[in-house]
Amino acid sequence: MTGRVSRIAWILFGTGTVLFMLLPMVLLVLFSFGGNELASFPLRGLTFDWYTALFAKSDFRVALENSTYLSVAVGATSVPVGMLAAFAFAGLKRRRAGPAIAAMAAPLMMPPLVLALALFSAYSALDISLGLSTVLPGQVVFIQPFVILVIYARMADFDRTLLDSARDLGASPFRAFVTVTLPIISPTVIGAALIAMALSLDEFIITYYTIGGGLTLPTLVWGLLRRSLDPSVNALATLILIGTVGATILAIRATRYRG
Amino acid sequence: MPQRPFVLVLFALPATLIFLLFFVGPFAYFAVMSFWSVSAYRLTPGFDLENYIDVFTEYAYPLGFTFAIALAIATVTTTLAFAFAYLARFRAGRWGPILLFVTLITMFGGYLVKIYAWRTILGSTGILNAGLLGLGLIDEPLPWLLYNPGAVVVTLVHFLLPFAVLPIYGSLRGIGDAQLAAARDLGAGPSRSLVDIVLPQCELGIVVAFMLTFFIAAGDYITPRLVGGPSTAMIGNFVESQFITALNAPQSSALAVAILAVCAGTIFVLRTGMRKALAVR
Amino acid sequence: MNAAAEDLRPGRRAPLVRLRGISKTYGNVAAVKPLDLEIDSGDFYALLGPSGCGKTTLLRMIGGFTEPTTGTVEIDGIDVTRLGPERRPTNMVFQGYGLFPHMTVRQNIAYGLKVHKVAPSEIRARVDEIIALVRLEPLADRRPDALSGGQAQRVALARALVMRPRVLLLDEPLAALDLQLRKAMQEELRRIHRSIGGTFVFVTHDQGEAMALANRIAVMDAGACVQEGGPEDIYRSPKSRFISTFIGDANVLAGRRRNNRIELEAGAAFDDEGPDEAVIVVIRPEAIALGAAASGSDTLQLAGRLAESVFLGPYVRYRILLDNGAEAIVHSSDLQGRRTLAVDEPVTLSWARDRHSVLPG
Repeated sequence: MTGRVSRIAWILFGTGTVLFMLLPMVLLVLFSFGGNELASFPLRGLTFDWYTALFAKSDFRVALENSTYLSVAVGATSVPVGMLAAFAFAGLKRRRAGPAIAAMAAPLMMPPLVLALALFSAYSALDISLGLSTVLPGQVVFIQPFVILVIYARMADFDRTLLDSARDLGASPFRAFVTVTLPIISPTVIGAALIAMALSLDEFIITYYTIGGGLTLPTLVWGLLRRSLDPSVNALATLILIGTVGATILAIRATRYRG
Repeated sequence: MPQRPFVLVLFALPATLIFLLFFVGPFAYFAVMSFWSVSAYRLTPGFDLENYIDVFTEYAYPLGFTFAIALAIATVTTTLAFAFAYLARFRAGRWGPILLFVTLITMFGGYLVKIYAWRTILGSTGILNAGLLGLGLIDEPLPWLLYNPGAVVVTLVHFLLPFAVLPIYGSLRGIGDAQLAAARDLGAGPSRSLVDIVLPQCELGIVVAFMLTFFIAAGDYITPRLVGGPSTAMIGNFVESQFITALNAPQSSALAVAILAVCAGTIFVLRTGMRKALAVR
Repeated sequence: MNAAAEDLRPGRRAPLVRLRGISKTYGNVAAVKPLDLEIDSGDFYALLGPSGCGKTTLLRMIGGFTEPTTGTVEIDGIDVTRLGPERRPTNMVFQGYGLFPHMTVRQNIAYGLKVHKVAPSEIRARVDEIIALVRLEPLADRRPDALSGGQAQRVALARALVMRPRVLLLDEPLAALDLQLRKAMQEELRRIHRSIGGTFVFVTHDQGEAMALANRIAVMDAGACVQEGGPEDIYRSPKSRFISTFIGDANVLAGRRRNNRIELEAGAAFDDEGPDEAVIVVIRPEAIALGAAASGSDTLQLAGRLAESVFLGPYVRYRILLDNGAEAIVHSSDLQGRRTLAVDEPVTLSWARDRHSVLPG
């Protein structure tokens, strides 16, 4: 019966794709605990050596500090800015809001390299010295569309009559916003903040070109990769993975994301 | 929600400012730079098509090659993403959300890190070779798994797949189950409903996914550098080397603009083609 | 419950749809318990019951969207149990309608014919015919998002009817419409049914709708068909307490039969043959009159006090507190009478014996 065959085909396809998506990351985590110098099988024992080696590097501490600061700053910037923009778009008719959000999402469609070089050129033309503060807006400009999209989608399902009730009972628009809207959408906002922070933590290209001499975890990965065969890079990569994936899982739980 | 235009504008202002100051502005400046030239390491404004001429003469091959490989990557990724999203939305039942969850998770983990992971998987001492050796299918590790265009394709498809799945899934979610049940009731088999009912309604998601993958693949330079080997130089490599090594920003910019224009043109053709093909007669 | 033995009407031909021993179990939950059902050609048949009673599952099994766990489905003498919906001579109007948003009304309706490779000229003719039937001409080139709920419903109906199915299935067709629209659509559906003379089977939880549209109703509860028949039969002779309260309002008076005599807790008594057991006596509110009736052995009386009277337009609804503490509802179209009754005033209720049903309690 063709139904049976197609069912099996779908199951194979689904499992195959999932494995394809997960494999490299699983391997990375595995190797970070592996006893070998080279990232190959068979694994010779499990060890935390690479992690200790990593933590011992002074570079690592600096990078960790910078990455944390940056991702928190990016979250703290992109969320209020994106939230306000999402409200503005939510007030527009659907027809108008579409293109506006699409325009905001343009930075996502560009190769990040072009964005990075453009920012670098602009900074040097204006004689602005590079550092974490120049990385921040570059990251925000491509992270804010995510925040806007997530919150906009939430607002589309938001029950406006709740605000009407609040107003009817005497609340000013501002008070209604703070006491009714915010609490209700707070899971979504938290989710958006976590996604923003995860995206910032992961970001490499724009950071690399606009940070000047500084270090973040991803640029440290790059540095370690250049000096080939430093296996502590696996440990570093695993840590970044845990950070970003952990944040995403929390975000999904917070927003009860359905797609 | 703000209704008055003044409040709307006010709310949208911060995001718009950031957008203008840190995206539109720099990008416009960078694009204009493509008409400038460099003499003695100093940027000289002017109007000069020299850089573009170089693009189409000196860099014609990498441009064409990049276009071809990016097209291949975008096509493979979008098709795979569509199949996966379709599976998750319509066929997987209660496994659907789990599939989506996995997709979301794999979006992160670092771009560099994934490239590096593929380098180790495909290398001579990597697990693919180790597996084939172990199964006795080969006697010696295959050196050609790595450092060729194929490796670039596999790596980028892997990286871009989650980004492509999400917009397509978003589109598919908007298609109610009642529609597919009705199509079946009226006699349409699964492939017929796919073409008649599903594809026309997820055109937007597919185009977004394709655009995303196409642009990002076309401008990539790290992947070809790390897993593509010397024979796989993409435009991104030249954009980077011209800017950083040769300190020739105008040339770099011209190359970037060229590839972007080519991509944009292709998307336009694709979109029109899709519209025509899926139009309801 | 065997419908065939129950209603062998004179001159009845073989039924169009015959379900035998049909059931559906999910895990260890029985959505539909094994039952038999027969639907005649030309019927406007209702599957009526509260949420979760299995009516939609039953409909879907007739349509082929759900495979039965046991039993067979026969349509027009052919066993279609193993056939998918696309191979059965049925079409369904789905809940939520399932209109294709990227197609116009006309294209939506033509879709099934296109899939079946009907000639374009014939498609045009049939689509025009059906659009005229459901009165959608001015909207033919609109998209679904430009239609109101009632209009969308008619498109869904047209899309199914244009296929000329032997059986048209409707899943809660009027559920999403407001009251006025629902009444209008009920009329429309009746008109269309009369006009094409087809067989319609629909699912509803609204007993008023079932009564208004159907010529036969199957009342379902917890996966079983608890009564089947014409609307009047079910209304006048409900077979259980559930049915009597589900369909229309009902007064349910508790009592006991002993030595072939029933004594109601509320006071009245009468002769009734049967085993000694607890019983309930069901009387419709409009069957009760206020005030003492002309005495006779075929009327019964109860005493009580007026608790509340509400003017509802065509009739007044009285709530009476009976002597034993139970309540009775009386509907009276004697609008004048209301003015003479005060709250807490003693009243007498009376009804004819042939207007009540006695059921085991």
